[in-house]
Amino acid sequence: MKKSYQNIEHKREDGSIWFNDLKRKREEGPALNKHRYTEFSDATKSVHAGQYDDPNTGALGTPIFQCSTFYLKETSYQAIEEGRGRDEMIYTRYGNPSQWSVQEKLSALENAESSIVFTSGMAAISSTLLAMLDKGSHIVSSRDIYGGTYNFLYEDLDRYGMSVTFTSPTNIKEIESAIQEDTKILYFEALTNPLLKITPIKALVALGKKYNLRVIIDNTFLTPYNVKLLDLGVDLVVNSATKYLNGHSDLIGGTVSGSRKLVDRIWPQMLKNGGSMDPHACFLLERSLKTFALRMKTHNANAMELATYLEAHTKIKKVYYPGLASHEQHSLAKSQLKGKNSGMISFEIEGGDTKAHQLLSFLKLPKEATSLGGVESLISLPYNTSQASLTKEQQKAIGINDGLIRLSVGVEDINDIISDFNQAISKTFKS
Amino acid sequence: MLNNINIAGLSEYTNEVKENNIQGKASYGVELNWESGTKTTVSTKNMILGEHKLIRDFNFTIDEPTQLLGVNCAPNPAEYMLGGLAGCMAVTFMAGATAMAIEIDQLKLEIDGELDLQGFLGLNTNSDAGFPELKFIFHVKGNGTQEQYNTLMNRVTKHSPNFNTIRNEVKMVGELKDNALK
Repeated sequence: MKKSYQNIEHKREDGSIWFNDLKRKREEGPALNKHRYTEFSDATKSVHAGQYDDPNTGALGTPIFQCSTFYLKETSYQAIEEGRGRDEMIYTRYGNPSQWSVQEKLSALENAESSIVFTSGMAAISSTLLAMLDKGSHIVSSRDIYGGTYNFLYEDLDRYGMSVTFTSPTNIKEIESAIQEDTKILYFEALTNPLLKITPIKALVALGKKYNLRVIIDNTFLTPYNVKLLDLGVDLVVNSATKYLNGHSDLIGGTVSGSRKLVDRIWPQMLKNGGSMDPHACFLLERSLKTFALRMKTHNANAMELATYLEAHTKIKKVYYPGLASHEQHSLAKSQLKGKNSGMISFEIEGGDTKAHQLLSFLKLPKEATSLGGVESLISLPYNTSQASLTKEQQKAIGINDGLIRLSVGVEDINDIISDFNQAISKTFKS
Repeated sequence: MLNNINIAGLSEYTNEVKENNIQGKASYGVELNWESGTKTTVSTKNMILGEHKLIRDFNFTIDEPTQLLGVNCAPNPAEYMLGGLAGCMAVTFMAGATAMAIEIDQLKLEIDGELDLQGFLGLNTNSDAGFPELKFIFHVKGNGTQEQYNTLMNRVTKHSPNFNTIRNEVKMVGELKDNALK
């Protein structure tokens, strides 16, 4: 990365310097290995991009740089003086090769100039929003937003002199009517939880341009494998890396990706809030991402097959899955997701919550647990987990009907998953 | 960071504007409401920097001293104007000093001027209603030389937006919207 005074040190000394003389421009990264594998597909990027092969030992694969601090050199002091600490190894909260490596892999997958990894998805979301908002700002967001994000927007923004309006995630006219004079950000999820509503990204981006707003999208349910939101004009993408990106239900993490300009503004907020990812967690995430495309391909295919099976079953009242023709936004799914519809399914079973609980108890493969995106199928009921703070009436008002089940379809053999559902549904309705 | 100014960020922004001029466009505005007598309140309007909105949620009060028919509860318009001028000159001076690798320990800037209120009162139509002259003094303590500070002062007069707004002729475009308020 170019220094601010490269080749113009003499001007600095004789006083003939002005801002137009300064040389440093923004570049992708920061990175140790600048090979993004741009010309390759996601499967290849997943394996190779960002990986740092140690030149001293010849070790293949990024070592775990399990250190909190780094030797200070002349270049470190220059970076501190110029305010470009993000480009030097100084202290692990500022940056660490393990972070840089996995961030580069993410940037390659997101088609982003820059990324930051965080200790959790909420650390990524809260730091991103606080960095992007000014005093007095207003956000337009979705009624269907993830509970953790909702709590941050609803409970905490007010304390910072900011405000939020929750609206439909799908109705652009309703979203537009929620925009106020002080609105600065449109914050939505690409695919909502648990009813899998699709936010119309191109229309939302057009709205952002019309009103000079930034558009930030949480892409946790879809991931960059299924839709590359930055290519559609979104300013910043956040993900809970805990879910599909890591994919093994053994790590908590978050990410933000976008232009270097915007991600550089989030970096100092991350320094203040804390929440930088530990090097060992970076190693786990980078290792998991090597199979990201493989996993996503199987998650998508398994979910499509299982959704089709469930929809045909007489004991299943309704299936929510963007790949099904019965999905209310199926035509948008076809144009926006291009056949890659995620591994998430929600469905309503005959007999309501009682039968839903019985079904979960008879299933052998899907584990009854919250979270999603792991290699193992995970299943839960929204009414007593993600939407538990709402009354039954409030749940019905937003479409959380009696007997609604949310399923994160894993990468087990799809025939085994379908057989398991077959036996479990049979037992549920014999008892 | 030297002088707590991020010169790398300034360099990046300068080069961004060099490549994409629109990123250097900054629209400003204020809205003033008369309260009572000589007292008014000002709200800063949201800015557009480049192509994106910045929220400017700030307010301030303006008044006149009792001798000039106010209740003396806030600085008067002339003081705000001089304060805005001084603030802009200080930002330009400090960013320039940082680019020149000068560490500043203290900076104080005085601006003084004398109005002839005959112009305001209409007593002398030949009298300029505005300030005919403004004097400014930079008090600087740092590791720079006298020559470097003189260079910086010249740079301020060339590059400070508010300094140049006051020194140069500005096209003023007025409009009346009679009874348009609710």
